[in-house]
Amino acid sequence: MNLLIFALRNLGRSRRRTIIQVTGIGLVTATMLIWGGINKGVEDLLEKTATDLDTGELQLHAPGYVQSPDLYKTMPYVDHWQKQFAKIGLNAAPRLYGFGLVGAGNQSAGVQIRGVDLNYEPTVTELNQIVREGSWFEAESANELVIGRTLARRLHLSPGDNVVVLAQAADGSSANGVFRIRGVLGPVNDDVDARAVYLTLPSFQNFFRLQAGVHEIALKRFDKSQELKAAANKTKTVTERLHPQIEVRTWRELKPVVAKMLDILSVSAKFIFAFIYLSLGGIIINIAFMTIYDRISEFGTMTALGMMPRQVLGLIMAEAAWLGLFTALLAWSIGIPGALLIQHYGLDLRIFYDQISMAGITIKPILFTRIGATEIFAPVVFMILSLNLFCFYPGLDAARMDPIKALNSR
Amino acid sequence: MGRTSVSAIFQCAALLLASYFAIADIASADGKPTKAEIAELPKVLDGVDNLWFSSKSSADMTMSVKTSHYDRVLKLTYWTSGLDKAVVKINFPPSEKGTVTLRLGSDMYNYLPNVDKTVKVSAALRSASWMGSHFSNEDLVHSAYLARDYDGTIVESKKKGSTTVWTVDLVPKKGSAVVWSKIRMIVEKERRIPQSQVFFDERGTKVRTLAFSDIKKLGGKMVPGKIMVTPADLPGEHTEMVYETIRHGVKFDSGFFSLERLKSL
Repeated sequence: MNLLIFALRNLGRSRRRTIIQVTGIGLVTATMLIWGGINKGVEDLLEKTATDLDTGELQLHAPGYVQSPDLYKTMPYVDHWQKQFAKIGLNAAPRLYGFGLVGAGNQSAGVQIRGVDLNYEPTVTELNQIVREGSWFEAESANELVIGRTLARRLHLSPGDNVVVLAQAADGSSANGVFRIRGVLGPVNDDVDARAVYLTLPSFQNFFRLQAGVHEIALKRFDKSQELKAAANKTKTVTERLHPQIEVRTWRELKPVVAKMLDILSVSAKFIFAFIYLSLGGIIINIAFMTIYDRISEFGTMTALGMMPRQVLGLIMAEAAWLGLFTALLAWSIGIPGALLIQHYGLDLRIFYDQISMAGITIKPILFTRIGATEIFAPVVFMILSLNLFCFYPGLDAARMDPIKALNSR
Repeated sequence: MGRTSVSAIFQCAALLLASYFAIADIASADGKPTKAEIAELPKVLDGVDNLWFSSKSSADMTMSVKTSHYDRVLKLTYWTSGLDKAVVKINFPPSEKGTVTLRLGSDMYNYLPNVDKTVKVSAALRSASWMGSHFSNEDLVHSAYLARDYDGTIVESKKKGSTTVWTVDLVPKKGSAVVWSKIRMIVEKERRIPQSQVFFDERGTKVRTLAFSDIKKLGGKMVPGKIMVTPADLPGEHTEMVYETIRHGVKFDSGFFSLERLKSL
């Protein structure tokens, strides 16, 4: 008789045991699938928060600007550069930075003043989408500011309030003016939250009397499947043609602490996974040993009736294969919809935390999954392999057993 | 006691005093300060602190700023009352005329006439540049005092003709809220006139040098009429402050050093 059919009948005969085994291993495997998706989602969210809300994926600067920011260390920028960056699959947003003081009532705070291009900034960051109070700039937004949330809280500011901004203009004179708060941003990172004040690029140029050049061009890939390093190399080729002194850096070079933290998070997640997999392995060993040693007399009867030891082993392995298949189907039928559900709605942990902050990056405690082939297949493949591996030794033991001893083992 | 004996005693005393000063001078010639000089140091520091300003004074000055990006000239009027009240008003250029910086104790404010607003300068910005110059907000309103905020050590004492020139190292007193970790000052002991001050940050790096020159009589005292600050990390840049007039014993009404008065100064 075909061993696969025989094995399937055996599982069917002990339906309750089979259901318990499939359900037990299946639920753990489904949990691993979802957990893998959440972990991937958190990693993506942190990287996205670091890049899509502030840094961008690549940045260009004048020589020495990153080491020692200075109002005068600008690099040239003209609008037609956009086409050059688009050709290599990148969006580009020019920016300006200055330092100053924001005063409101009897309080003031030192701030970083940031000039952003209303047309191009949304192609690189999602700042315009995370305004928590008030709104992002409009084309005619002059003398208006969007500020970080911690700064707003510290100076008791909300949309509609007026503040005085004081700085030193490029010509050495005092730059000062009254600005209206247009919006307050949601969480970005500690630096933006506590110190950032956004102006439109023309307002910045006007305020600081700085007419030519920009301090930074932030870049973002159209398609993330393009490797970051490859994108950086292509950018260097372009900038060498446009302006050879421009320095190109990836976000990982600009935010080494965040990049390191993501690497550590990824490694620690792998360790956690290893422990979870070991636990799953333990459960499978337990089930495999109990299932086989509990049925020793059954295997003894088969051998006594003329079944060869290799056929007994084959039968046990075929049962393991069926169990693996049923468990995989159950794990996927629970795990994939579960992960997709969390991907869509998120796992809201706000009852436990107001926010999660790591390496200066603040994220909302709503976790979203992101599942790919690794998250879908890795736990299932591990489960099937360990099920077969852990059934092999007791299976071999059962197949080699003297039928008389096996029959007496009941 | 006869007249001769009294005279002899005076002569002996004079001889003793002369030998004491001779010994003291020999010690000074070695470069090491005498005990008398060490004891005199706080008075000299206090003298330097009060060189340009007294308990109630005012001054007119011109500030010239030269950087690699711009040159500018500001004309200022300065008023002080005691150690904790100071006002600086810009009279020139016209675009910044009427801008006033006020210090009241540990608080500092800027009045901006073009927007008719007063902004409090946070403590974190005390060391930031004042109006594009190489002077900091703290320098301008003189919020740190050598005698009050620093402990001094005479590193070297040298005779130059009839004057004694000290090299003094000043480190912040425990608990004093000052920017610099060390100031090395060269000062003329007798006239309490500084020749130079070199400022070091908390890492011990030289940040800037103040050079004092053009000693003349202003407000009844001999003072350096010109102060030039040169930043260590910006070669070729400097800010020069020239005192035109100094007035001591100025009378202020009770509301002069107040936020309400800034607009009408």
